[in-house]
Parts: sequence; C-alpha cells; structure tokens
Amino acid sequence: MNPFVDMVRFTPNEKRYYRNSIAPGLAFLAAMAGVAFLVRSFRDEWHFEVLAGLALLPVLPMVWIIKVYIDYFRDCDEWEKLIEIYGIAIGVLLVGMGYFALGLLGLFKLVVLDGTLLAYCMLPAVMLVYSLGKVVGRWRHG
Amino acid sequence: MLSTRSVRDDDRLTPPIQRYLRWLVVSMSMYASLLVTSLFALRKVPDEALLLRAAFGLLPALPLLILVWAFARYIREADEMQRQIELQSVALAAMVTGIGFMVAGFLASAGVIALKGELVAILVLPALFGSYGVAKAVVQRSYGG
Repeated sequence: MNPFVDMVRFTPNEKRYYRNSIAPGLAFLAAMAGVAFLVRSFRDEWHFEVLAGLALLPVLPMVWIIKVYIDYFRDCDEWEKLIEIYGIAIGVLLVGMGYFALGLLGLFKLVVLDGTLLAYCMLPAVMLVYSLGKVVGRWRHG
Repeated sequence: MLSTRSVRDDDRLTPPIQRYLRWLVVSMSMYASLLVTSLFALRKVPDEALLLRAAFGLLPALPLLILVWAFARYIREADEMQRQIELQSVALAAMVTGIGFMVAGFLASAGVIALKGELVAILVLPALFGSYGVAKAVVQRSYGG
C-alpha cells in the first residue's frame, strides 16, 4: 500500500466531501472579496460596529466548510477516522511549534512579523500540514 | 468501602500518563531555564551576530520538541479508548483555535483590532493547549467519563 497513491485514490465518501466543499469554498472566496472591497471603500464612512460585523461575514462559509468536514468524518470508517485525526494532530503540533519558533524570533526582534497575516494563515497552515499528516498516518497504520 | 476503592482505581494514573507527565515536567523546567538563559544571552550578543542571536532566540523552542515527542509517545502507548479521546480533543482544539485566529485576522484587517505579529505567533501554542484541555473535558464527557 502506497500512502501517496492512496491520497489521490478517492473513496465515494471523499468524493462526496470534495463535491460538497465546492459551494462553501466559493462562498468563502466571494465573502472575502466582497468584505475586502466594502471595508476598503467605506472604512471611514461606516460605523465601527458595522465594519466589525462585516469583517466577520467570511466566518459563516468557514463554519459551513467545517460542517461539511464533520459530515464526511461521521461517514468515515474507524480506520479512516483514526487517519483523519492523526493528520490533524500532526498538523496542529507542527504548525503550533512553527508559530512558536517564529514568535520567539519576533519577540527578540530578529524578524518582523505581520500579526494580521499570521492570524489569517494559521488555519490554512494547519490544513496544509494535515494533508501531510494524513500521509504519515496511512503509512504508520498500514 | 467498595466505592472508595473504585474511586481510587479511577484516579490512579496509568504508566503511559505517568511517563508523559514526567517528560512534561522535564521539558517545562528546561523551557523555563532556557528562556531565562536566552534572555540573558541576547543582552550580551551584539546585534550584528544575527545567526547567534537567532540560535539563542530559538533555544527555548527545543524543550517543546521533547514535549511533542512525549505526547506522540503517550498517544502510541495509550489504549484505544484513551487514544481516541486524546486525538479527538486535539482535532476539536485545532478547529476552535484555527477559527478563533481567523476571526482575529478578519477583525484586524477591517481595522477593528490591532494585532502584534510576535504576540499572535507566541499565543498559538498556548491557545491550542488551553482549548485542548477544554475539548478533552467535553470529549471525555461524551464518552461517559
């Protein structure tokens, strides 16, 4: 069994998951673009509360994406569930460590860090390393 | 008498947890002492010696590698049920923390709050540990623990 080949050989559950992710993914991109445009255009004219509410709009499709993932996870068999969680655990630990190391360098003024960018990148970074963790999980658990 | 014995049995730490806790104490003690060492050393090292400063700056991260290794070993040695609880807790904590940081990012980009880069980076791991603790209580409860 090759874990790398298995990554691109989808089960019906995985196919359904990817298909169901398209709509919330597009909604997220549209919300991000719309919010960025509106906040930039009306930053000085609109109230603080309105801007805050608007800035949080992309969280809704994000929650939708997570709901789709939870549905997928529920339909996984025991082995697939273990691999999924293995992937997330590896992703979290590595990204947490990486962020901590970056934070130390930033704290001692050795690098300049952009807080907004770092906050944005945390979840995508975990998702990216999670894919790698899944390969490790499949390899370790045959 | 019987109930006292069963409560004591529940409270007894399993050997994998004992080993993990031992390594946790070792790594946290090392972290604290290396952080102090690094802070003192960085005062003495000149600004031009960038590599040396980076090495001293990253020194406190080394014990955290031990902590990650100890946690991975604990997961490997734990029984099926405990492993399931631990991994589900980590997954839940990752989602909650990830969304939390993303929300902070959205608010910062809209100019609602200001985020300091080094603070965000440093806070990720403690936020994960904190939410993992809460998540573990929730997951354990769902398993009837």
